[in-house]
Amino acid sequence: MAAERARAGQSVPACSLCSRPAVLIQRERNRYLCAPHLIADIEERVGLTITRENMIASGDCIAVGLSGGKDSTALLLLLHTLLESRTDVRIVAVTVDEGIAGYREETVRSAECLVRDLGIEHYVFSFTELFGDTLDGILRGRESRACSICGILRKKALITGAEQAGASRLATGHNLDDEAQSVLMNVLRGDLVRLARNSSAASGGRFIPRIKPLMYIHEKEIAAYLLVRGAWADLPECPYACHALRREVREMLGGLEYEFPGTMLRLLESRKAVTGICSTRSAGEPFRHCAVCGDPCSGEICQLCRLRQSLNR
Amino acid sequence: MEVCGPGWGMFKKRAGLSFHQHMKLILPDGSTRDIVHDPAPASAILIEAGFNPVDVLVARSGNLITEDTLLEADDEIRIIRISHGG
Repeated sequence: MAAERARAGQSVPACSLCSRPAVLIQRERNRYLCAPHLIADIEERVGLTITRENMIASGDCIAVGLSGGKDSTALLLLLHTLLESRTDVRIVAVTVDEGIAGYREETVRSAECLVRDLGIEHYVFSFTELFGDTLDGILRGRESRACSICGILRKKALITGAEQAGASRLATGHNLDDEAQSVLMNVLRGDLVRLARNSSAASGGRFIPRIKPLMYIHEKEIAAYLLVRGAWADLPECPYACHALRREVREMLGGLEYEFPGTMLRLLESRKAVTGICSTRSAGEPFRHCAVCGDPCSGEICQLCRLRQSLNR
Repeated sequence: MEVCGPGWGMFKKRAGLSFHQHMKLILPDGSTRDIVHDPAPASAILIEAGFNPVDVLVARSGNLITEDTLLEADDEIRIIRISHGG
């Protein structure tokens, strides 16, 4: 009975742009989309974000941070599709194997399959190679700090990987949900400096600029995009995710987004406004260099060196 | 939402207590749950089962459906958690 009804398309809302059955609602736009229109919509919005934010220029080599999870998989597929006709832009993929037993092996395999299918150059770096131990080893007894420690090390590993690949930009798969969570987390921590920081700003060659082409796409839209493109893989969730403040913020924001569609987008727009105000006030401030390693940073000692000191490594 | 007990649904139907209908949920961990429920939008079923509709996708008979799709008797619903990997 249910199968017959599904085949007949009864009780399923239709796409706002055609008569096919809808697969997703965009609640803040009050719009229903079928599979082909969802794919077209995501590709168009990511393309617009890239253009509007000047994320890619002629001659760029884009290093895509490819964990093999859904966001980075969607990012690589989208950039590959959008830049296919551009002969003046090159894409490479950089995968960081943190060394998380029972989790990362599967996503690295997924990343390897994807780059093989797309014919993209692939660089893989491990925490053991870069920092002398796996994340599991580094975190022993410090599991409650997992996400902050991993975040600092993974960022350094991705930048190192992008530099070694000769990239001029580092693209990451941060989506709208991630970005809205970061805004709220920075507010909750009272970290207004980080809230106002613009990692994609030009720095006179001191940093590889980071770009986030999926920053205006909801996590749910990304998952639906992969499902309808037949690129969804059931992968495990990171075993350390349960320790993170982000999980609490994620649940809270998810509830607010359901009750008040557009909450996440408004949070992101508020950060943009704050960044705009702060960038005019801090214009002309000199860049600092870490007193220990010499890397560019915002304080006296960079986050990685501070972490190394706290871990006695 | 009620979890089916042996003979409970039949008893209620004979007694004229309810017009609830049987549905099957396939949860993100692969386990299944049989439920009886009035015809309702997928979002209502999700919330009663403890899921925020923002955090999951729903497929019926292998096809993605929106959370306001009306679920009815004999529907088999797969709930897909969107947060993984990374």
